[in-house]
Amino acid sequence: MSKADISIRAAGDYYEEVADTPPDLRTLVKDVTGKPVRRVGRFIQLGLIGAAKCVGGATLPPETAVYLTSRRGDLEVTIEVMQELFRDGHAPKPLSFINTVSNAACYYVARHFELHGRSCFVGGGSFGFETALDLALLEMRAGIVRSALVGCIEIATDPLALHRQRLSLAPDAAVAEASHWLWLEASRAPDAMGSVGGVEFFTSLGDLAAWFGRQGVGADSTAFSQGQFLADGEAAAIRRELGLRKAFNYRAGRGYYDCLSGALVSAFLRSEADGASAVLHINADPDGRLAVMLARR
Amino acid sequence: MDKAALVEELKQLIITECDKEFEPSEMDTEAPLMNGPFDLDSLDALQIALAIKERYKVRIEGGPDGRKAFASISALADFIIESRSSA
Repeated sequence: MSKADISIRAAGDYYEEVADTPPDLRTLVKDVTGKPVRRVGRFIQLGLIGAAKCVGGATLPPETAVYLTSRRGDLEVTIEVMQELFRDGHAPKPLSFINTVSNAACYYVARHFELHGRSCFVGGGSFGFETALDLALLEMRAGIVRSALVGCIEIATDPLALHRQRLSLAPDAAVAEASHWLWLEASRAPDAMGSVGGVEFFTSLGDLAAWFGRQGVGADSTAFSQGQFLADGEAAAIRRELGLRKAFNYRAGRGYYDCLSGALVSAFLRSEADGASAVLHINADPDGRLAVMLARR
Repeated sequence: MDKAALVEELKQLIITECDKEFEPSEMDTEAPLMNGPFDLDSLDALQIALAIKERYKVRIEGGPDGRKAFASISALADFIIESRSSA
């Protein structure tokens, strides 16, 4: 762990492939959080489930900040409100309207854990999780935040055929919904699962390679991980350039959802990953930018 | 409009709109809707008011009207019956 690293105190996920109708999550929310949560849809329910699985029985410092991202936001409630407004021609239900604000999920997570730190929902396009994590790291390294929950949520909507169309997927493509969370601390916790070395954004492979060279992680002990939006050819070129022989594939067998990057850290820390002590995850966006996440055991 | 039937409808409406796990038979029709055993807040009141406007075409304004209507389930039923008969 280098001086700039941030400790990963815990990681937790919800992941479920959706084959037909998205499942009712009410019972699971109650089981995982220990209490029923009313007036929320599946997006917020997924957020609560993922965050509760991450934190487990631990008590978060009350000043813990919440950083959340989602490519699509709460599609379910947004569709409901849009249909009420424009198809049915009447005012949406107040509670539905309120929950169209994606930051509503931050509120429920903060309320569940009795947090009063800052909370922030960020977009980030193809780099949603990377952007949320980057913001958290910036504020932690600046000393503004000492403890943070960083998460992402993506839900599937019914009917699934329309959901696939919306995501530009093939009619038979496997789709999933997920909620991935990390609990980070600025201090060097002795019981930390690992650490986050950094999140960086590049427009050239040369700059990326130069940055990687300065990180103090050996190419032999670092696994390369290909993000969901990075093309195979580009991934191979980057891997060659950086001399990374080990690879860590956390995406195999998963259905499609947008914030797959959020699954990386937790999957890496729970895997053997070919004996690698660090993982370098590289994702891309349609403009050719590269987003890099570095995590260590 | 039959008040007893309306009270039962309103119990179900409150359960549905406020996402509560009550059984209708457990709901005291004379108990205060706000700051009482139902644990409802202003957002619930707004949700209920909008549902009542849609279903019964009765508008519940804020202030004294709102306080009167939300005094209890029974009072809410009276308010709806009164408003519809004077419309």
